[in-house]
Amino acid sequence: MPVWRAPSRHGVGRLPLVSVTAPALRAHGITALRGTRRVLHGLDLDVPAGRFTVLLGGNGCGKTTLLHVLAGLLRPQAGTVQVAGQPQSAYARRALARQLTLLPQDATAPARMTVRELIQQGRYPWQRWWQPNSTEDERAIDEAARLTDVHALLDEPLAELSGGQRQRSWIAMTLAQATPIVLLDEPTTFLDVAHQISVLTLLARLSAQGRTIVAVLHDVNQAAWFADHLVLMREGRILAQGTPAQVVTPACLRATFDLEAHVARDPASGLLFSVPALPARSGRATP
Amino acid sequence: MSTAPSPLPGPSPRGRGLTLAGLLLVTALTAAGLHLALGAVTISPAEVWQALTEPVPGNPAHDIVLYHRLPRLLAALVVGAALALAGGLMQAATGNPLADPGILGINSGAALFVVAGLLATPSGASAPVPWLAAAGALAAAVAVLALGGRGQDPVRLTLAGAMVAALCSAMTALLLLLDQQGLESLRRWLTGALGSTAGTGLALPWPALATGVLLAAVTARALNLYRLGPSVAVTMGVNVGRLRVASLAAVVLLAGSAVAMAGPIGFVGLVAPHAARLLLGEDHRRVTLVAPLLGALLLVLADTLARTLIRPLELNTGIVTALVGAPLFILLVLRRVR
Repeated sequence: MPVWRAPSRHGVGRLPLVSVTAPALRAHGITALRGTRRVLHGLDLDVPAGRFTVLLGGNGCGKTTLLHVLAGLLRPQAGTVQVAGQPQSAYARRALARQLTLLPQDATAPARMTVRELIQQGRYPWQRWWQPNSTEDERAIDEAARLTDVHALLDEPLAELSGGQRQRSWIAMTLAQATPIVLLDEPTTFLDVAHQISVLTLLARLSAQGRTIVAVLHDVNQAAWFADHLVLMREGRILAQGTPAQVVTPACLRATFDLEAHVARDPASGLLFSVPALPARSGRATP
Repeated sequence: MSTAPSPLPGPSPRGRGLTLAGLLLVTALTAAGLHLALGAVTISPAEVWQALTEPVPGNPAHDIVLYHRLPRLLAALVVGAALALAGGLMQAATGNPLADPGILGINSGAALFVVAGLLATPSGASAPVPWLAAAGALAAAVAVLALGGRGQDPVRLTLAGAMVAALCSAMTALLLLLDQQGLESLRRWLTGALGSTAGTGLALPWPALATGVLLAAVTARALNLYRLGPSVAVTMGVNVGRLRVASLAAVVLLAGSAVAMAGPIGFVGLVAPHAARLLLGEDHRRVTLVAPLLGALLLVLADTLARTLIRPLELNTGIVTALVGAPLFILLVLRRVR
């Protein structure tokens, strides 16, 4: 039996102890529609607890829809989701919001809202109506700002920030929610490569501290470098899943993206990487 | 891009809020004093004070203060606060900084239903004006939301509001043309006239106002999250469907009550929440507290102007708020476009 302990009153400090073998999220037989289009077809997925899981796949393969179903934003037409061993439908809204959070792609904030005001919103599920911040709330906000390195920016309006700073502020908001499970939809899109790496490093560190992280990414190499568990999707189904070494193979990449690719290891770092196999360009001398 | 002026200095947002509330209270009291003293006849502050504390029956100045200007002042305070609260709710719930009960057609819808109801009521019987106004506000709000589409496109929503406002005003004008006698008594009310409540005494639609204020207070915290996008609100545990219904109901009750009391008055609901945000930042809970104070203050000032600009004649209050508010509206649009 998995050991599961409810989070402390304000969800800070202790994360629930989850045995590593029990999945944090379990989706079974999920069929989901977007409008009238069927996007997911009887999909099964176990998300390992305390690990960094990355969903990869071509555009429109159902990654975002899957995240929305896992987060309870979208009710599946068929199938069930279990969150920390309990059916998602058994949770009250607020209880679910203390268990998992999702940073969606379409999040927008008023331009003059400050970083502190944004992070503050993450405390919603822990506060009662019109209640001022408790010391626990302040601690969670502080910790989230420290982890994401936006501490110096707390009183800046969001409109004045760079794309990387803004994205880290949003991540800080989801961290202030202090949920054991964090889902992120393309958290690195629109960031330059240095900021992409810093966001992914942060997510890997959070999973090392015991949080369950699920992110949709587009870069196969970054996914291979940072993920503990990789899930390849195509047309609403899971093609393959496993460790990066098991899944980042020419055969899997071909099946997922219709892309011919070479896979190798960087001799210096030992990191796995793939390069697309491009046709030789005419008119350019090869050394 | 220009930076927003930094909020007032102060030890903490909380302390700053209290300081500001104190300042506002003093300003509002001064404005209220001016409202009572100025008008067709200027009455000295000492005499205003005497009229309020130990009135002498039959003293004409005291009668003007007590039975003409005081009810009008109270109406301006209540109507200004209700419109500001409704405007703040609309701006938060639609994600549209240009939302206002006037601009989005809510006031015109309420006015149309009131005029239709009054014309349909046989003379002698009293029409349930607040309920007519609330029904009209609801009809207009539903029409604007339906035309505005599901995507939160501020431009489309604003255009839908302008169309509904134009349509309702045209239909109101048509009704008045059909009934020439009704025209004279309703014409003033339709341009926003606080004066019309003065004669009948203060028959405030208290239950509707109280329910609207309560709903606005209850939804304030969740609306903060709603402004970050519906999906964020859901993942934070907000019941988005219930939130939408509650804020719509609050807007309908508040704007409907305001129209029932004073006719359609525009721009107060637009300007007051923006002023509150400039002073106190983006937290919708603080906007909910301070915008009604600012709205009340604005309308008292506008009404004082309306009664003094062309004295001994009076302008309609709604005309003054439009003259002041329309340029501010254009300013807001330009700032966003830039």
